[in-house]
Amino acid sequence: MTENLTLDTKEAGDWTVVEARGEVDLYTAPRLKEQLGGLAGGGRPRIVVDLEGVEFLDSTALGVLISGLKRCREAGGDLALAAPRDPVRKVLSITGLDRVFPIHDTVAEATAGP
Amino acid sequence: MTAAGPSPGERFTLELPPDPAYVSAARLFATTIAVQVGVEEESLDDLKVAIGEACARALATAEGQPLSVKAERADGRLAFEVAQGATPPGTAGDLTSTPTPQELAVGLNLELITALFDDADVVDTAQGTPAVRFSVKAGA
Repeated sequence: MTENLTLDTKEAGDWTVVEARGEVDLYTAPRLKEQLGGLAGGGRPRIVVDLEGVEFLDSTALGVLISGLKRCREAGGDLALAAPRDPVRKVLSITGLDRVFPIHDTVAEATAGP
Repeated sequence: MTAAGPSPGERFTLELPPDPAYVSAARLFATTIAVQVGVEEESLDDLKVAIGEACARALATAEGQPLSVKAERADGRLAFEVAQGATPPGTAGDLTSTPTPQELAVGLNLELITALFDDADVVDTAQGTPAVRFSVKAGA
């Protein structure tokens, strides 16, 4: 069976970049949740989720990102989103979450912050 | 091009096991039919979101019932109907506690669908069961 979602992580200074590719929906989102929770609880609470390769993202995925943001901030970090495509940006905008997450055009811009 | 698309009034039905693993198949089903009946390309992403949310809501409200997605082309539109269970999501409107990702998602399902499709509604079907229904403009 082909993977609907692939997740890769790499470190960029204090930040961990989680590169997601494919579809993040109610079936695949638990894997992202596990990944974000592991980082936030494991001393790497500054996370950039690279959405450039994400073709589709549903409300379950939004819930996972919000709980990830909460855990990161509780641990003294943050969770930023980078390079969302237009359909993903639209979902973030409709739900008002574009005002909740720091959203950057590129990963480099996201990790350049303080 | 002489290959005929589905004729007006044609109906399509998809039934799947009530498992999140199959929701991507429902999205593909809906977009494939939409392409075949000439729905504009810019509506396809909205359609994928709405079908995904309607299926997620179905899984949350209709435990054990198959996922059922129907599409019908009529009057220049392609109408979708996603069967829902009778159990309303119990967490909507409860602002006293921080919602879990699952609870938050169920609250957002209808919000997203209605934001994307003006005519979206939860209706009672002829069988007496609720369904999420919305339509998109089809091609000529």
